[in-house]
Amino acid sequence: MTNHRLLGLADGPLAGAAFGNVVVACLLALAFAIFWYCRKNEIWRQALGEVVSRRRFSVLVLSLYVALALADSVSWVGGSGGEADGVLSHEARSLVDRFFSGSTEKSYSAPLATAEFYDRTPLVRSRGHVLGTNILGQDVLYMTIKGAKVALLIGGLTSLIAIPLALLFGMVAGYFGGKVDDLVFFVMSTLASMPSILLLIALIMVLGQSTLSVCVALGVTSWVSFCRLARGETMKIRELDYVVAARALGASHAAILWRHVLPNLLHLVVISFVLLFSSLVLAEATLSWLGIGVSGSWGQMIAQAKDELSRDPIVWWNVTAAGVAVFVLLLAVNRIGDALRDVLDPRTLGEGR
Amino acid sequence: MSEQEAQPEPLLSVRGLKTWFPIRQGLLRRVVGHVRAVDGVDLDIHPGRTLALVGESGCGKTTVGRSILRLTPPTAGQVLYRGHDLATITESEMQPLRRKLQMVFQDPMTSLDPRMRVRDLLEEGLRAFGIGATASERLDRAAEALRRVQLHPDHLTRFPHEFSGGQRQRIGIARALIVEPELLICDEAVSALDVSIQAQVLNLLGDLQAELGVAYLFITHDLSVVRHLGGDVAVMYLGRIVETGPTADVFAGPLHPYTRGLLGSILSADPDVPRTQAKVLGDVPSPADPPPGCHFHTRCSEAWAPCRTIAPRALVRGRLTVRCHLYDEAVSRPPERPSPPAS
Amino acid sequence: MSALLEVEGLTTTFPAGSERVPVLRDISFQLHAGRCLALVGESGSGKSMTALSILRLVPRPGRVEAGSVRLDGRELTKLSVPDMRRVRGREVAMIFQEPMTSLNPVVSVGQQVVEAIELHEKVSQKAARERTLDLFRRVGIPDPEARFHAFPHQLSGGLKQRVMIAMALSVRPRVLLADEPTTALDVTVQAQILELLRELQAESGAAILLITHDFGVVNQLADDIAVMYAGRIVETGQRADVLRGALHPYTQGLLRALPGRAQSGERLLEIPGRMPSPKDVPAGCPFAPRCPEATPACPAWSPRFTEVGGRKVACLMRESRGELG
Repeated sequence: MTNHRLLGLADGPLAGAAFGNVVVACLLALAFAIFWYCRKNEIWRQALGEVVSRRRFSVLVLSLYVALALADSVSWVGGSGGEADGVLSHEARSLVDRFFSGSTEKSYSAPLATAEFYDRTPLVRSRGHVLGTNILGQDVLYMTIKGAKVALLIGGLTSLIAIPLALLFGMVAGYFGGKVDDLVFFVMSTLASMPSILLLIALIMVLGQSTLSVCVALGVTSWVSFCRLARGETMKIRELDYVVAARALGASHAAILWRHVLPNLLHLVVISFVLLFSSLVLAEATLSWLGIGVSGSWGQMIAQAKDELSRDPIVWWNVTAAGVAVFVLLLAVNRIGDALRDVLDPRTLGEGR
Repeated sequence: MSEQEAQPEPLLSVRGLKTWFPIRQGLLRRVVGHVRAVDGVDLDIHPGRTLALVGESGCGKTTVGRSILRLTPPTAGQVLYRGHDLATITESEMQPLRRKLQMVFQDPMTSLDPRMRVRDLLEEGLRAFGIGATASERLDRAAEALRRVQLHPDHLTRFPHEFSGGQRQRIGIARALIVEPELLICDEAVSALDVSIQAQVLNLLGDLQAELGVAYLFITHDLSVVRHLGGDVAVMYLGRIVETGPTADVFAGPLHPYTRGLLGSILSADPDVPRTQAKVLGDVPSPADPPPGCHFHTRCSEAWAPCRTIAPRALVRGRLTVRCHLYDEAVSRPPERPSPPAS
Repeated sequence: MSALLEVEGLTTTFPAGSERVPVLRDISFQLHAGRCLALVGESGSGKSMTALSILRLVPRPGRVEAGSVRLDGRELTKLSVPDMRRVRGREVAMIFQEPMTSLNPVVSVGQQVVEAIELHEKVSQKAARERTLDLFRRVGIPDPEARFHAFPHQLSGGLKQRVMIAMALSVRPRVLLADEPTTALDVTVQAQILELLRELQAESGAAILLITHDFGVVNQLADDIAVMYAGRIVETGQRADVLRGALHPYTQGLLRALPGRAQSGERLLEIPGRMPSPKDVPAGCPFAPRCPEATPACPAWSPRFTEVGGRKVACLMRESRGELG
């Protein structure tokens, strides 16, 4: 388990674990809020039900990943078996950690092998590693499962930062136009013109290297495209009769934005959220390749391939496991995203059948 | 609608209203000209009566309606209502007055927020103006508003897409009337409806006017609807009113060549009436570049020299008011073109 | 006089859930050379779909399920795709309602007409251009040489519609399908376009199928009328006969609902309720739920025509009384 540094504020693994728990709790609360909203609003309930029925398998896969991530998020201090993994007694360990405890080898071993890969010493758990072990002897399946939480965190948390920001700026720019629009447009264009990699590197250097800072950096560099979308859509909505009617009824700008513009942008939010997720996970992989990603992510595992693939004989199971895990998750997410786009098309949404 | 009677003080008066939209071109977005959507309009709307504002596309009639309600800010002129000039007051002064001046829109598909239930749509106005102290009182008013447009209060929990075009228009009317306005601007409110549905909505509007005493500014391009509405009519062409007066009189004896051409272009469904000959030729010029002088002179069979340079002034002839040099004795005319007889 | 275009039993369906719902049910009519048949109905009656079905342009997933369309004896529904393409535009041309979206915005209007000509005939570019200018003059477009190079957005609605008519007539079709040709136009322009269509028809002897909801337009252009309701034809007859004395209760209701017919200040006579959507069409007579003359026998009656002297009406009340109005 590595240390986490909360933007330089708090230190130590306990802080990291507590932070992880809090974030997960917030995400869960958000998920429940969405569910509750859908129960009340039958348009959304029908739409999401439609998506689930069309993409049952993808939803199942995604749910599996979410379950694994949740299992890795519930962590507490204590219990036995930690010493074998090099975990100190005051460090917190999650369900996944405990499940895989005592399975560390010395170094590489092939999947379902009985002995170490290079020096042929017998393994602690003969045939016990379904996907082999990595350079530190950690079970690759274990690392892969832990990577799920990291991926969902990156995708989910960053989207939560980027999308509301983009939504706010886009709505305001599109609705008020004029100087406000010019200003937002200027900021957007500036950001979009900078090479995102450089910007990311710079931000992470400044904020320190932790999960939260990577999320913030990714958020800052990826809100532009959704902002443009929200702005364009708001400009269309602004001209529609029902918005003009609201003005004739004396509604204030804030009331109109909250009650008329925002609900009619939500379908875009949902679709963008899902699609942004993919690009964020992949972006993090790039950052890991550069050495500034989040520790414990699949990207980091893939980055280790730099070294592993040049060995003789090559060590292929580490990068394959991570690669397949990323691929399957993003495939499921993209398929759900496409189905969402079809179902939430404003022409079909709320038009009945 | 109501028969003609002695004219009381107008509820709302428009004087010299102009709404121009700038045309910007070039890198620096300089203003190169203006679309003169409304170019000097005078109107009087009387309480409890209907004024039909009729014209073809691009004449600016929709912009007049929106300018009166400050949904599109006017460029010049006055809109006098209860001692206020709506064209120049601040938005916060305008807000309480909005309650009395409402609008019904043309397109039933876009005039209702598809994400809101009917109940919320209706209550929006109540909330904005603080009508109805409790939630249950607002609900009662919403139910009453629906009943008044002949829809069942059960519909309160439904979404707009569950209704037909005609029903959506009724909901739009209910939304406007729930705040108890004095003037309802109907912006092509029946134009998107089928004939049989149009009849239902027109009858409803007639009943509501009789019951509630609301005045209507009825914006439309359909002359048969105008004739049916009765009341008064103002004929608009390229941003200007060319003729106005009681509908029955205008239809019986139109003065302006455009009005004559317009009425002559009405297609009758009566097989015994001879087939219509097109009287007005050519197309409507663009409001960004209207012809000088009288805007209509390029299509007018009676035009002569002054029409090309001097804008006609408003003249009263009998019960009608018309802007045309033909009726202006002060304008010199060639001997072969005598003044038309007074109607 | 034998018919130029004969439509019989045309039925077009669309999927709804797991079944197919008919949008057109058993449509039959005839078009004769030099005459105009108006297909009148409100939105949802299926009139536009009729034109698309004739040309086999029904948007997927809809399809023509049954029926025959014979052009001069030739069965159009059985033609191969390349043959049908030769028929479209060349022998049967269509004018659409919205001139704004029916013309390609990035090609000059003159060029579009030239392309239409070149598609169907082997003529040189120069000859096609000459023909186009000639057509522009004929349809009343002022300054044709300059307008040739104009783009659609630079033209007014009336001019665009004239361009569409020019395009449709450029290859001298024998049948013209006009779908609401003047609905999107101003009243003053409408009268001009209808006059133009009258003249062009007299010159070319083409048969016109005029699709519209406006009885005023019908009165200007049509020789015969067929009234549609919920995918079926409910009444046919000559123009003056139907307009003066309609037989079917729906036609009567429509004519009475016209604001032009009522006295000012009077209530317009309404037809209560509204036209059912294709999947909600009731059994028996589709108009029965709204009909002032309906009896309990009407929903059980299978619609068929009663014919007297060239006029047809599909109404149980007229059939059982054995009279016509």
